[in-house]
Amino acid sequence: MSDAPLIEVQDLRVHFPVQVSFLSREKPVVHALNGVSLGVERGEAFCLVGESGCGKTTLGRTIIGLTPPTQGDVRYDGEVISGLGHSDMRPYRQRMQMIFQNPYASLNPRLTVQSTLEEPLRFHRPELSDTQVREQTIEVMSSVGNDPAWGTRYPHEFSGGQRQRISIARALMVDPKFIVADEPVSALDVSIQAQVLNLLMKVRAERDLTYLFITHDLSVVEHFGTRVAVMYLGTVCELTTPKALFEEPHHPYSQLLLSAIPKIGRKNFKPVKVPGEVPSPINLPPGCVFHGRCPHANERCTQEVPVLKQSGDRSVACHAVEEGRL
Amino acid sequence: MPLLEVRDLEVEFPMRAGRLKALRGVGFSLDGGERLGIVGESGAGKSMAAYAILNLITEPGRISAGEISFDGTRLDTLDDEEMRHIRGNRIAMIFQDPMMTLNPVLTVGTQMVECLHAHRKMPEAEARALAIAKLREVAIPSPEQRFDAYPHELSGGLRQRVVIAIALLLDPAIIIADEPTTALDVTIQAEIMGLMIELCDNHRVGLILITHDLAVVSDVTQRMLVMYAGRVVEAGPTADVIDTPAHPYTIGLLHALPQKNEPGGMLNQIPGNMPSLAEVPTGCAFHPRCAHADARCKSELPQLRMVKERRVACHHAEALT
Repeated sequence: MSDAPLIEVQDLRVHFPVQVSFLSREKPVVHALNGVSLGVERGEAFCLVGESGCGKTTLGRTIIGLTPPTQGDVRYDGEVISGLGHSDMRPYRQRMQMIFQNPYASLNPRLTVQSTLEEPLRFHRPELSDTQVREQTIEVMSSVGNDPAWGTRYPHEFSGGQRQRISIARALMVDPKFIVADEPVSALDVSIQAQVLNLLMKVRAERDLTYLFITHDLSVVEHFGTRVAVMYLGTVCELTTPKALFEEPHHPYSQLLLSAIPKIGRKNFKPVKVPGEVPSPINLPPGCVFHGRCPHANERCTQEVPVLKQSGDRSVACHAVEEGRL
Repeated sequence: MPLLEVRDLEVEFPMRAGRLKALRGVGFSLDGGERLGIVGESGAGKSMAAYAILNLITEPGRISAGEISFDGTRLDTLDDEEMRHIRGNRIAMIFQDPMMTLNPVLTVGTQMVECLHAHRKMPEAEARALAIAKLREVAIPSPEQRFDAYPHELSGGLRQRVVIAIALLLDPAIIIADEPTTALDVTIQAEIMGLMIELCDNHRVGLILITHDLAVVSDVTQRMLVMYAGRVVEAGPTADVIDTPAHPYTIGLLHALPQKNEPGGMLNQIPGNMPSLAEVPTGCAFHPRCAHADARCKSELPQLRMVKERRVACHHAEALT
């Protein structure tokens, strides 16, 4: 084990081509990620927040190798893993697993729970005997709070919360070190959300896991996260601890986002006015991507792209913060 | 007399194995200009209660008991023709996904004018002017151009504004909004909620907001109902219910929120799942998940009764508040 962060990405860019008329000479692309650099330390629950289209899911998928980066590297424990071939990637796939948002779509309806759980283990560790595989499924099923006797049943026989436990169990089967959880509780009811979040915290402690937690729910971040990156249009605008972010967001977009979340039990609620809309990721605005909606933007913001600058326990990508105007 | 009053409403669906009761005695009222929230988890019957008001329950489901009166008229006994004069005209509805509500092959303007012509006789030019005025009212930029736009040309936030503008077209007395912001981002949600509060205040429109999000209910509504397994378990002024919940289910829901827990610690959770409507437990439907349940809770159905300014359906409500 080296001193490097468990996961590190450097100047990661992901562009997706957009289909236009085949006669057209233009080759427009969606700029899903525009130079993201960050590191996830061992044992962290690193949260990515932002609104739809900000690139948080793309970042998670690129780290785990489901989407190839257009430019930049992904490192696992100091080793570059982006661009590896299938067989070279295989040992890393075992160490990195993913949990998806919708447990109704992420489980194969034609496979029993037992086969769903066995599949990754038989793929990654073909040397195990049937008994060993069965023992592992029983162990994992009980650790996620499901009855191991449910193995013969099919996904449709379970509720949303139970299904999400099954997808968590599937991710845990191969004994991973790093899990990307993409909105794992968004599709669940409040009382079930708490059950699943507790489970995720429990298995993290028991199995020494590191999480990349993608969510739009800031209260989950505050409760669960060790650090949080706020994303906007494919860039990280602020990276800090949840406590620091909630006490005093520095980046103008973080401020806007925090002011917009509904809060329980506050008196005299004043609706916020949100200026403008998120620009298209096909034609990114020059300079800071947020300048068109930012009350503090000046000439420099419209021309020069701000980079993340660290001060204390927080990094902010904003000219106004850097110049002390904010 | 309140503008809308629902009493002992029951909705049932005939099944092979017997009758499934989706609503098992629901009552509430709404005044003009009032904002009422209905919260509950999936399957609690919150949407069903709202659909029943407009008689939108899909066959073979039907209202099997209870009364719904609106402005002196019994809605539950109206025939289809009479209901058409109420629906969309006096009581409008906003659904979760604006793309499902809007017709993708018609322009925004065509859909608005169509809605006006269905209920009022008015010349084309007047209808157009009225539609554009409503688009302006919901703060859509350059409404004259948006009038000729197709739904796919608009962003999610603008689409939901168009849906609200259509709901407002005929100056309804009540708007029923079923999870109107669940599909939207938080910044857009904040704007839409602000807009809805403003419109309700300005036009004295009553709002029934159905949502699973307790924070949204807390910010937007004045009174709220908490539903569980087809019944109202707690109802009262929103601030009171949120600050000092009285029913164990409401207490459990609020305590399960990450905001109400120490960061990094385990969240309080309600054990178990909402029961299926086909096998609702005897007595209080919540008793298998409740820490305070005793023999009486297992056998006797608790009725809603006044406990400290609100209605609670729990045998132990006094002891818990």
